[in-house]
Amino acid sequence: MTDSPGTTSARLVDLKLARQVLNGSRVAREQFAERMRCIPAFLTAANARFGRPFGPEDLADLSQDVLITVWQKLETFSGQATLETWTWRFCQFEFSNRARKRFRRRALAGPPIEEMNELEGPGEPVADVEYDDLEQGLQALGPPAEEIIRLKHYDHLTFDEIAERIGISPNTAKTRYYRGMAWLRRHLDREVTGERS
Amino acid sequence: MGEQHEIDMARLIASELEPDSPVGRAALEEEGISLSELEQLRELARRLDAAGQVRDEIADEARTLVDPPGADRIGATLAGLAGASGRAPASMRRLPTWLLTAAALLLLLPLAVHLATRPDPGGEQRMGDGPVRISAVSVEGGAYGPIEFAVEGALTGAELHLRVYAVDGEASGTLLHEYLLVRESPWSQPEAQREWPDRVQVQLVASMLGREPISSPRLSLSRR
Repeated sequence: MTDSPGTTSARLVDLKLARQVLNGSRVAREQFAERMRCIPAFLTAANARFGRPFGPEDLADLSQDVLITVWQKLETFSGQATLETWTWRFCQFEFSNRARKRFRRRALAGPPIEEMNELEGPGEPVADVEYDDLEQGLQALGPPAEEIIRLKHYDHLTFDEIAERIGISPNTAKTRYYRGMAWLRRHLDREVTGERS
Repeated sequence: MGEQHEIDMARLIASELEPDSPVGRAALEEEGISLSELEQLRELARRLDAAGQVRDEIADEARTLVDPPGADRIGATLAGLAGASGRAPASMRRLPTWLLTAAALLLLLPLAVHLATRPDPGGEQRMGDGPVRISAVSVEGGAYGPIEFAVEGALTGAELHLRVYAVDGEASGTLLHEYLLVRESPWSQPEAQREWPDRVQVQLVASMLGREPISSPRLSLSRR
């Protein structure tokens, strides 16, 4: 899913496709539907990764929900990532949300500890709380720093590559990265402090 | 807060710079960041890298799946969503066509009067809330150098693209490259610009969904 720096034209093609879909092109919508098969694939892979908390029917329902969210947000797709990379964020968010609700319900009902452990994959927590916090923090941070941090750590781009990708100078990429990271650290600290108090 | 120190702080977090180097020490001091705070920022960077790694592994696994649960519903769901968003409300569909046409004409009447009586806008283009004029204004430095843009008026919600056209030979007028811009000027991508032919024309285009795009005049550039 990592975008290589050389995929500018692919992202512009994706932006064009999104606009054609929004303008009501049936052909574009069929192409888009093919691309959106990544949603059930991401969710199924994430399900396996986190100990299979959901069955096939749950996953199919979850795919529908993510697809509806993607459709509603399609106007905001700016072409700075490929459609698949952009879609992944919605998959991750909905998956974590649903998993959190499910285990909260189970916890309230008092599940046997053994049952929870059975759901865990080898060495992985069922719901990756830390990953979840980071994602929510990034969403709270918002653009442009959010995008720069994602490109740096999720897409593994250098500052020069980030600058080229979004059309700013490398130094601007660095200052925004630093300010974003400082904000994110304070935000996550506040979240932890808030939970404890 | 000096910008150079913020740049150096980014390099410190990314471990491109060591905190015991003179530049690193100066940046930490200027920004009021202790060594333990820097370590917390570096730890956050490592956590983000780990989250990115998890995402990559899930994506790799996803690529191997042939028919995951829910894949068969994607096309039908999208068709339904497209149909729902493009369809008029049920109560309107029951109204006779002549009544809808009359109502639409009445609603358009004030706009028609306004258009007929307004002063000549003199080629003015509009996007968002007001008139907009965009232009590529200057070029400095070698190998085309940075390109500056002037945007007069509000471009809220619009996307800016830089288009590069061929000037010479049979390909004259052909679109060679298109770059998505954030609203920053000047624009410069030395590596990309090195690949341009010796003479090109550049144009700035602002586009917004549902509106006609606005284009700047084309600016001719020559490699020095």
